[in-house]
Amino acid sequence: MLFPTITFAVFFLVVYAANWLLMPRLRLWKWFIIAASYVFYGWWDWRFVLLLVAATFVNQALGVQIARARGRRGGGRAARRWLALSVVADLAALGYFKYMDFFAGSLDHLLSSVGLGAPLPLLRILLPVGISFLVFRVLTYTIDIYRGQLAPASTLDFGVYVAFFPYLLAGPIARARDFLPQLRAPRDPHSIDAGRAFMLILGGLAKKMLIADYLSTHIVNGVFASPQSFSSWETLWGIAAYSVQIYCDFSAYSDIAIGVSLLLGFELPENFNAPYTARSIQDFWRRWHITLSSWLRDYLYIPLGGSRKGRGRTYVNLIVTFLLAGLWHGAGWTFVFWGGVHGVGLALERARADARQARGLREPGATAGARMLQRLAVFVFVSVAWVFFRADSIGGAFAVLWRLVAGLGSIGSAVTWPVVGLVVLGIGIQYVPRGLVERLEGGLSRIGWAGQGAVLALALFLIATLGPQGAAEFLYFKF
Amino acid sequence: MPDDRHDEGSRRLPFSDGADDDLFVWDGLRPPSRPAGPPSRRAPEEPRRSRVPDESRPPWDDGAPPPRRRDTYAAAGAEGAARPRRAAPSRGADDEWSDWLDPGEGAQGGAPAAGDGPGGPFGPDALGHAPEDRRPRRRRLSAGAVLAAMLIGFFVAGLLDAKVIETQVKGKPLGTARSVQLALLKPMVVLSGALRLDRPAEALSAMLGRGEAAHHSIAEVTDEVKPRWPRQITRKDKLRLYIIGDSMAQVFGSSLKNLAEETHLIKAKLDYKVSSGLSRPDFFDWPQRMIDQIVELDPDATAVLFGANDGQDVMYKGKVLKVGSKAWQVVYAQRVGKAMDTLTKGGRRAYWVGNPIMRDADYRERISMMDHIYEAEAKKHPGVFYIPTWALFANDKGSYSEYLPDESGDPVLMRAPDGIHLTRVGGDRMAQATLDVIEKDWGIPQQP
Repeated sequence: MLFPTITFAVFFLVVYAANWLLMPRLRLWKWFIIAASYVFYGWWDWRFVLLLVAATFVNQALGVQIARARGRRGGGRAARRWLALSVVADLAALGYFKYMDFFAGSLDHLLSSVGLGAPLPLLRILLPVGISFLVFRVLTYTIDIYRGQLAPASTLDFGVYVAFFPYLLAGPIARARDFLPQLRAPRDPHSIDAGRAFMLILGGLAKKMLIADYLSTHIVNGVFASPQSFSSWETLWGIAAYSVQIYCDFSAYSDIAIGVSLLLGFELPENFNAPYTARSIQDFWRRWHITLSSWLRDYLYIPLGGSRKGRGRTYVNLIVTFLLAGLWHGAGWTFVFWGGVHGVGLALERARADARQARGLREPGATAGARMLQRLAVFVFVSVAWVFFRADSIGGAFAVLWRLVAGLGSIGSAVTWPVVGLVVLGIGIQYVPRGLVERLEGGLSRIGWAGQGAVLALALFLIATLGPQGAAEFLYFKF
Repeated sequence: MPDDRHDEGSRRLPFSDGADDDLFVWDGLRPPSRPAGPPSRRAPEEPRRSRVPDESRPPWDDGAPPPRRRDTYAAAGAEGAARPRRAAPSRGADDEWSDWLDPGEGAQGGAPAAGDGPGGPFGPDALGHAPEDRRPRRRRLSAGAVLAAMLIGFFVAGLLDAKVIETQVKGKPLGTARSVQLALLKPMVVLSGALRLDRPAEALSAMLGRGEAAHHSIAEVTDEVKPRWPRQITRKDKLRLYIIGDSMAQVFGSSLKNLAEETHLIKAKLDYKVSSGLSRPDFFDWPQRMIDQIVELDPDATAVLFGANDGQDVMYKGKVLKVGSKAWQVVYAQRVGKAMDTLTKGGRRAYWVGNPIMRDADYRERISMMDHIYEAEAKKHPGVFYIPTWALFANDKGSYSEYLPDESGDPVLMRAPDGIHLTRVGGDRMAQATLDVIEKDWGIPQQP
């Protein structure tokens, strides 16, 4: 079920009403929200629901075992074994559904190239939507229990955590220790932050329907499908437009998920914070897909040794973390390459800072012009990396980049005023001061339910009329 | 901000050589010796969190240890709570995310943390959050009031967009679901019209140039003045190729466009519409679109790929014809034939591309039926070539396969997960087969 559809609107109205009617009877509410979430997820394919059920019972059983082992004197080794089993089981599920064919195909190709044939069968396994998010989410449960930062929840509560539909498909990756406490007691039906929720939902819908989908169909798809048909100028805007598209698409999903959760009485962590205002790659990753980058930091980079094992190892850890981050996004070498580009970029940034620190130099204070240049440089770096993320193959990505120099001489007709305007708007909204957004949220919250209904009606009307007919899938579903 | 974290000591040693034995993170996944924390006094209200959890601390600067938040869930006495080994100092609920917010030593490493402030380029209070006491207050609503707001919003937006929604629903496959939805929408559409609430949408659409465009007629498709085919195709006098179809043509069409234009003798224009076909001109009127585009683009030839959405009931003279019935086949063949007439008027050529083998049995049967209709109609229409692609996507046993050997014998992924659409490699394969026919027909030297 897609957020920007009438089907979801009807689904949500029913779920919303039942949510608050059942909330006083918390146990019943939990069963209800699990059922509603299964309907939401099973809308694509009912078999996907089995995955949620399996993820719930397997991780719950292992979480309980980990906690029991930790509670025993000298149970550390046993706890570690249970944790290892949980990590292996979850990653095996991810590996099976998402990477089996990728690895088998790559190995076949390698063996074939040395004359050993292609011995591994390719299965083309049905990929459940959002499985990467699901696996990372449930891993926070067992790992945090092992770390002593969380006690096992009841199976019912954990079932809600696994299946809660707002974040089910594309995040934010809410950690178990942040979400489960919210299930302790009924949510307050008299304290819904509707002003913020409606702002997030309407802003998300506008970003998705008015900016991302327009840019996708009017320039991005063409530039990436037939690069040789586009001039350098068009390719340049096509690449910038994709950077804006992926931001407006993915952050829209997060915003809508957070807004929908707020209406149901739950808080989710924020996932984006004006990423294209970043002045360094490191800064970019503090602002882009925050719940993933912090997950990678806490559950991968730091366990690898982080920056504690010397400079060289730090750089290696950064690159390894990002190679795996790339692979998390998709079973393809383009994603690995994209991750590698970011990993190397981060390592180089770090090396430069280390070198300056070693010489006792401090970062020079930047002028306003220099700051803008830094932001531009980061945007260019990130955009070039996105080309590999978007392209069908690494060769295809280089074909797009090659057009930047090979397509000189003509301007072409793909760069229209709406395209330019929406690219500028997609970047510009990230420079809107937070304070202004918060004032708008406050203003919306104070006009009461009738006023909010009117704003909702007007905004939905404008989005539906100005946007394309029919909703396109969110890009991050496939991850 | 309260700062009574039990791991404060370790936070002062972000670059130490792993001497901090409390940090399992430096030693694989060794569990910490410290326990989960005590019950929160503020339960059951969960701690207020920053909306931006990681303002200052770079994710890749692990100068500070990972967040060591206490288990407030367990602390509240939830089922299965672990027995704490040792009580930890209490932390205020407000510092739930404070590990992230503290500008720790981690900011030393790497590039400048946030330049001119944790919030962004204009300083911490510009893109960042306003200080708590200066933040605008938000009024909270009750669940009933929010429901009322949503009902008003959806109802009024529904009235304003009733006609747009009705048009979308009309485009759905004929059947009970569509009929029910249209029946439910009917009062909304009537009310919207009576109150003239459909005017703003019409005005907005007209402003955006989305209104009903003037159409061309088949009479405007000019007859041949000079021989269009055969003729010598040169770089100066390129073959103008028009590519049309449904979502299948998205990948196939762009592959054909790429391959065709690599010859430098063909100029291609791709025009596809997702979910469209010849069964439902009420959803998208391809016969009219073909006429309009032929008048405007004056192509020499058209490559066509339809069928993926055509295996559905059709409305014909007020009657619903069941897909696959004899009557359905007659009507569909008439539509295909008429499209071929349009596309070949004025001495133009048409390359009607058959569909590849499909995964699901029922669907495969329908597609096969339509392929037979295309082939039969192509034989009746001079200037139309039918290009079968079924076998191009079948394995050596003649069955559907996601993976097929490429030229070197390596298995490559040809099909999308839905068992219908093509991957880029699959699109290239279908496009190459089509281009071979086009080049042969026009005497264009084939590419090596």
